[in-house]
This record gives sequence, C-alpha cells and structure tokens, in this order.
Amino acid sequence: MDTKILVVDNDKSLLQNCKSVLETEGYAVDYCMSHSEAESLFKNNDYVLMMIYMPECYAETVQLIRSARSVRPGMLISAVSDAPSHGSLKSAVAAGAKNYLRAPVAQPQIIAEAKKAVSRAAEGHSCCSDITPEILAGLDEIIKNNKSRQGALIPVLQAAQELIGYLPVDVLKRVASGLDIPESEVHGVVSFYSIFTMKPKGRHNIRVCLGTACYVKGSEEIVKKISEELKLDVGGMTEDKKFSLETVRCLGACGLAPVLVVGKETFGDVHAKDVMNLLKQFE
Amino acid sequence: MKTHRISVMLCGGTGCIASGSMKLRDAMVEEIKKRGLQDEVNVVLTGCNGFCAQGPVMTIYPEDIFYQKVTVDDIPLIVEEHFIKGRPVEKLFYKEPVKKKVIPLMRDIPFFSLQVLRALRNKGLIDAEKIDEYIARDGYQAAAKAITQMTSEQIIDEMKRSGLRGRGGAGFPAGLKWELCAKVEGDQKYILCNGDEGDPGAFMDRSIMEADPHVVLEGMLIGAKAIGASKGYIYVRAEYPLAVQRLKIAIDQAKEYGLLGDNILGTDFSLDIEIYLGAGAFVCGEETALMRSIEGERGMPRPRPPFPAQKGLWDKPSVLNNVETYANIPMIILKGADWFRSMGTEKSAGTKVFALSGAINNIGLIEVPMGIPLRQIIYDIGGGIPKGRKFKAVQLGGPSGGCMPEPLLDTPVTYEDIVQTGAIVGSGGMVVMDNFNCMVNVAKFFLEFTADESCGKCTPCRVGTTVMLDILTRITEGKGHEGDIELLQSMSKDIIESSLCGLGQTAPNPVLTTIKYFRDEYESHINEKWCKTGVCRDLCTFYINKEKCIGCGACARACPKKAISGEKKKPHEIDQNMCIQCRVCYETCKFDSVMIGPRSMREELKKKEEKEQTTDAEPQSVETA
Amino acid sequence: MPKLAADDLKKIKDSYRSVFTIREGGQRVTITVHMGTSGIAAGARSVMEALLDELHNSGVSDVIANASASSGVPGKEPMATVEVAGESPVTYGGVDAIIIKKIFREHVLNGSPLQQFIVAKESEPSCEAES
Repeated sequence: MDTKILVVDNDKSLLQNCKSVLETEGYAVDYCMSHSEAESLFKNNDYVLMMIYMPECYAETVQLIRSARSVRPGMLISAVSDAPSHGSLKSAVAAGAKNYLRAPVAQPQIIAEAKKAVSRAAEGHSCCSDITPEILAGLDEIIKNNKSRQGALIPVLQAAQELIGYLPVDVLKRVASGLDIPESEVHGVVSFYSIFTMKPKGRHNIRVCLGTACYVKGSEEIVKKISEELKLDVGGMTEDKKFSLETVRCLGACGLAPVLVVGKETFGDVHAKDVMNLLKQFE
Repeated sequence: MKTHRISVMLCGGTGCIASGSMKLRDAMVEEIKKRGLQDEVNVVLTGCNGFCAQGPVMTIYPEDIFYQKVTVDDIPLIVEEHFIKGRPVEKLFYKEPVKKKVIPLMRDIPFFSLQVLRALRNKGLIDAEKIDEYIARDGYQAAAKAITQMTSEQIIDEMKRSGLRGRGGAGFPAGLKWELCAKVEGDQKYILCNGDEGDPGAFMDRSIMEADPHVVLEGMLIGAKAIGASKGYIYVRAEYPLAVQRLKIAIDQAKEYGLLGDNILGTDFSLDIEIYLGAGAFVCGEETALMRSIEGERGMPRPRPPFPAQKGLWDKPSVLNNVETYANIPMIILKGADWFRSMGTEKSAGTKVFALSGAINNIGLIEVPMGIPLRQIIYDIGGGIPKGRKFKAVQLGGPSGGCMPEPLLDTPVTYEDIVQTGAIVGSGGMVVMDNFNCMVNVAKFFLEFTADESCGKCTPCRVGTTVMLDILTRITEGKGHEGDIELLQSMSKDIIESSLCGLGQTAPNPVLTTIKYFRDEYESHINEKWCKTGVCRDLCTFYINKEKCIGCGACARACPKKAISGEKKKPHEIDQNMCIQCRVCYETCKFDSVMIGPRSMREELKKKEEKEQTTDAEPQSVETA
Repeated sequence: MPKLAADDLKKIKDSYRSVFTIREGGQRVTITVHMGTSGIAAGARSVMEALLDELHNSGVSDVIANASASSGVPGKEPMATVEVAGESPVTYGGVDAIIIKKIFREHVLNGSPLQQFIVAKESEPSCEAES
C-alpha cells in the first residue's frame, strides 16, 4: 500500500515542488489549495501526514486542523508558517497539530517529516487504518453514555478497548478530554491494569495461562515454544498481524490445565509439543 | 410445560464449555427431537459441576447417573440406550483411578459423596439462567425473611452467632464487619461483593457465580438490609466472561420480579446492584484497593483506619464480602446459626469450598466441612497422585499462602490450624505438587507473581519482592551463594512488617514455607548446583542408569534433540553435547532409569564421552561402568 | 412480570415441585416401565406415554416415572414396577396403556394394588440380569 501524504498550501508552485520531492522518495502525494477540497481528501484517504500552511488569517485553517484531527486521529499534522505569531502556532497545536515547520521548508526537512510520520504510524503510536471515523463516533458514544456515571474511566476504557482492540495514545487523549480527566491520570490507569494494552493485537490473540495449576503443568514451556516458533515476544504481535501473545494470571479453568485461549476459544490440556499444531487452524 | 421424566443436567461451567458442552447440548436437543422425546426429556445447562477435569460431564436424573468425557458421537447412544431403552451407557461411567472400579451413580463417586454442599447447594441442580429454578430451591426466602420479618440487629446477631468468617482469605467474622458498618451513621452506604478472584489456582467464586448467581444477589440483599445500604456493586474479574453474563441475567430477572430495585417485596427497602468489571490487577482483591478501582482510579490500598465500614467507597460506609461468603448467608438466615455451626469447628464454623488442582487425580471444585484433615481431601476426595508419582507438597492460599509437606497432611483444615504451619486457608486454592516439582522454582513462581502485581505504593513490597525474586532467580540459575537463604528470610521479615496491605504482608509466605519445609532443596541448589527434580535446567545433568534401562527406546523417540541413542533392548545413552535438559526423557521413562545428577556431572560425562570416542576408533571393547 | 410479594415465592416453588422431585429425589412413588428391546417390542413405549399423560393430568408432584432395561421375564411384557416409599415394590405384567392408567389411579393414588396383573412382589426383577 502506498504511503499517502497531503499537502495544503496557497502557493501552487511550492506545492508542486513539495510533491516532486516526496514522490522521488516513494510517497504518494495529494495537494490542494482550498480547505473544502482538503477536507474531502482526508475524509476519503488514509494519510500518514498532512502538512498545512498557516496563513495570516488562520482561524479557518485551525478549524480544518481540528476537523482533520477528529476524522484521522492517527495522522500526523504539521503546521507550516513563515511568520508564526504566537497565536497561530498555539491555536494549531491546540487544534491537533503535532509539529511546526518554518517556511520555506527545505527539501531534507520535508523528507524528514514524512519519515517521522511513517515511523510514528508504524510504532502503533496511532494506526491510521484502525481508527476510522465510525470507530471515533463509537468512542464518542461510549464516552457520552458513561460521562455522568461515577467512576466512569475504567468502564469507558474497557469499552473502548473492546471496540478498537487496543488503546493508542490518541484514544487515551480523547477519553481524557471527553471525561474531563487529566491525560496523566488516564495513562496511569491504563498502565496499572494488565487488561489494558497500548499495543495493537493480532487477529488472533493468544493468551497462555500462567496460573499455579497451569504453571506446575508446564505452561511456561508453551509460552517459550510459541515465542520461538512465531518469533514474537510476550506482549508482541507477529509481522503479518496474525497472532499476538499474552500471558494471563489465572483463567480459573485449572481443571483443564495447562490452558490457552485463542480469541475467545479456550483450549485445555495443551502441551508445548502440540501447541503449534493447534494454532494451525487459525487463519 | 408437560411433565417430563428425565432431567439431563449438562455442565455449562467454563471448564466443560471449553471441553465442548455447548456442542453437546445442541446435539442432545436435536437427537431428542429426532426421537420424539422432547416432552419426556428436559436438557438443562447448569453451572459448574465441579468435576472439571472429567469434562464435559452430565448427570441424568432421576437415576443420578453420572457421565464423563462425553463426546457428540456418544449422544445418539445415550438417547437410544439410556433414555429410550432404560439402559445407562457404561462406557461413559466414572472409573475410579486407583482400583479402576466403575461407578455409575454420582452420589457413589467419592469425589462427590465425601462433600457437604452448602455454598454450592444448587450446583448442577438448577439452570443458572432461570430465577424460578433458584426460587424452587428455596431461593430468596431468606431475603424475604430478612427484609419483611427481621430487624438489622436480628440479622447481625444471627450472623455473629453463626461464626461465619470471610471466605476471601483473611477470615474476618462477617457478622462483626456488618455490625461495625450498621453502627455508622450515613445517608448512603454500599454493599459490595468481591468477585475479583485473583489467586492463581482458585476458581470457587467463578463457579458459584456461574452456577448459582442468584445466591450472591440474595446474600447481598440480606447484607444490605443489615447495614442499611441501598446500592451494591459486584466487582468481577474481566477474565470471567461467563460469570459476568450469568450475573447480568440474574440481576435483570431479580429486577423484573421486584427482588431488586425500589420497594422490594412491597416494603420500603430498596437495593440496586451493578456489576463492575475488574481490569486485571491482583491487588484489587484487597478491599480498599477494590474500592479505589470502582472509583475509576488505580487500585491502590489505603491505610486503615478509617476502616471501609466507616469510610469506604466514595468515602461512604461500605461492606465488602467475597462471593463464597455471600453464598453461605441465605441458609444461615433460613436455617439458623446453630444449623450452620453443626459443621466445622468452634473457631472455623461451616464448610469451605476448595479448588483442587495440580498433580492430583480428581481435579475440581469441592466443598468440605472445616476441620477435615488435608490427607482426606487429597487422597479420598482427590483420589491421590496420578502417574504413580509421589506427593510432595500442597500449596494453600495462593501467592499469600504456603506449601505444606507430607508430614503436615494430618493438619485439620481450619483457619487457626493452617496458619500455624505458615500457610493460610486463603480463598481456597489447593494446588498439589508431586516429586516432579522443584520447590525453589515454585517459590520463584509466586514471587514473580507478587513482584509483578505489587501496586508499588510501599517500597518494601515493590522493591523487596523484586530483590527477593532476583535472589531466587540467581539460585535457580546456579549463581546462588552461601547466605542467600538467610538473606531471603530477613528480607521476608522486613517486607511482612512494613507493608500496608495484605499483598505485601503475605507475599513472602511461599518463600518462607518452602525454606522451612524444603530447605534441603535450597541447599542443594546453592551448594551442589543440583536441582534434583531437573526443573532448573542449569542445575542438572540427565543420564541413564544402565542397570535399570531395558532399552525400550521410549526416551529416544521422545527426545526433541535426538540426543539419546542405543540399540533396541540394550541400555541407551544421552549425548551430553546435544542434551538441552528439557526433561522429556525423565518424564517418559517408565522404569525410573533416567537419572538427574548435579550440573558438574555434565563436564565429567562429556570428557568420558570424548574418551570413549577415541577408544571407539579401535575395535569395540566398551564395558559398562 | 408483576413484582412479587413474599407469598409468591412459595407459589413458584410449588409449580416446580415435580421437576425437582426428579432431580432431588424424595419422591413418594417411583413407577418404572421396563423398556429394553423386548419391552419396547411388546409395546412399552405406549405404556410410558400413557403413564406420562396420566402423571401430567393428575398434577401430582411426588410421583416419578422411570425407565429401566427389560425385565427379562418372557411372555409378561410390557411390565411396570410400582415402588411406594417404605413398601416393597410390586411388578405388574401384561401392562398396556389402559392398564397403566388404572394402576396409577388405583395403586399409586388410592393405595390398592391391582391384584390380577401382579407378577412379582418383594424383589424387583434385577436389571443387572439383563443382557
């Protein structure tokens, strides 16, 4: 899949220059000069990066950044300005821009920015393809439904994770602002409880029970085996996004020890030598 | 509904569902329809039967026939032979593990016959998703009695006289807890249920919530009436999706009947109960931490006083009891404190549910009178140790508990007797270990758990458990040195004395008890670099006793590295350069001829092998040592 | 669903009494119809169906119907055994749909066995004897 970048500016020659620079680096580039066009572009395309020029009258541009942030929370937004007043920069950041570039932007800077956006997306810092506008709407709905409830944070995070599969930073921020709780507190809760994860999970999440009964029957060997064979660490995901591996404390199914859960299916009496065979059935 | 003649109670607990009971139910219902028996046979999906390892299991009434390890292919046979022709299917009967005797009736199987069911009185007898079936078993009558006929003082008095102690671990008298809270003035009080069963190896609360969710609600209703609470929360582990689902159904049904909500049974008493999903933090089993978690914060304990009875959830007076405690309450109210005290001992009244697992024949959930000796649980109910191995230890009380050796097996299971040994009754996890388990490794396992689960608030617990874990890891890797045992002991003492909550105060117990009862294992790990069970890979050498080996070749076939060679019917040999100490040969050998030596032996054997190879070049003349 | 009053709990319990007699035991009478291959060939199924009808219509909750393997007594099938708690079991032979209803009314409900159909008293024909 092409890595797509959107550039918004009011100077066509600059845009064309930027496009050719990035295209030689292998990126797919769209550009436009009007805000309405930009809006429809980022609604329909999955960009990793939007570079946007901040004109002197920046109110409308800020509006556009805000809209881009909500539609594409995973996209890196970089504001470009030649004479940044304190106001334009602050507003851009408040609306959701992450970076600021001083115009005119030099060629290496443009490329560096694109690379930054790509690595940010790959880190799972935010994964563009996961967080669609529908998911965001679902998240907002969850927040709305729980907002008045006492102690809403954990149920909201649980529902959000159920919806998205994991909790990327942008989701945490949205939850924080939605519930009016400091981001630090939200992160504190997410990192405290083992059920929450900020890393994406594979299509099939494997959970190996390390409870006492399973442990004394060799479940540690199962973890080692899966980890070796699939080349993934506990907490990690395979490159093809097929499997992810977790360990859990006790599933309370000690009668079947050692126990392993794939997705929502529980398997009992699993042994290290058979485990890879068992995983074969998952596509 | 037509009168049927057969009830099929198919276990729908987590264990049996994992073994396929949902498919069985569908197949059974379909087959029954096919044979036109739908009016005669009633198929009920119950909660956990308790005999999880034999799953999927089912009991057929009125005969009380118990079928185990049933597959979909067995269904037509059961319907044809048993339901139509009246001939129970013998091949699905339980077989006694030692004498291999076939036992058709559930009530005759020692695993069941030696139990006394109180908290689990409805297990396997009702459809957990039907409130009417719970009511048919006297359900909600105790709550009705408490709400319409008893005062708060009367309820608390009955509870105090019963001597019921909290079943979650600490064993604090439930009646006293209620009394403390009832005395506190407050416009809003909370009744809370702890279903955050975090001890690894414990699953009694899960089973109760799955099999009999209404009993939890009824216990909470009685507690709410006693303390004057109008709002309740059940805090359940998210790892228990089935329990959550059943509780949700139960709450909805109870609301529909007006047994929860406003003006219950036409009185001015009201109670609303909500489920709160835990998020996977062991420390949340501690009551103040659990309350913080419901408030949506990190689950970190608070110092006491103030006690939760005074300032609990959202600083309001609150009472928290565990699932099993609540399950005991309705019968105390209905039958009285004296009836409750008729089982158990003076200080430990009633019965206790245990989750029996590990190296034992009959794995599952049991309820026994308190005071029963451990030996009876392990050998009579549990059916002893499988595969001809030897009992080594039983671990009680999870990460807060300890390991008890063979000489202590006659200890009666009561709060006061078990604590004398250094272990605790705890929530009731009972994991049996055989001579294949390394006790240093077991201690390390629990420390790994507590070090990971320490919330981090108290330094001695946060740092102390980690340092202790480092020492234990060192020992199991062959880097232990003299003084380590004493260091572990003195650190344990400090952690116990200076931690705020139960987690830190009990975290060193597994280490202390294994040192107390299995010190020789620590010493051989440290001094001889020898793990005699072969669990710690760095501390063992596997070799074959040539006098015992009959050359069956089983070990050679099992070896993943093909490190074992030898002619058929002649003693085999392990190539030390290839061996990865996986222990498979040791587990496979039926003649005890695979031996485990200290680490140092590896080099000696390697040298010997080299020597033999050079002599091999000459004409064959190898003698056995 | 209407909100319950305390008395309603007992009503619900009563409505389930026959169900729980099957599961918990404690029944006053067990009527066993001897099925098995030969029993069924002789018409034991229709006896069982008639019995269940009768049980249902009578509304009693302390009587259960049970099936067992065939009695192994040739020429007497279909057979049924009535076992009243505290009394010795009575086995009837040559039972059909009408006779079983009679047995139910006379013996089970009124306590007077139907002498003309009795084939055995005291000990029930052993199930284990069946092959």
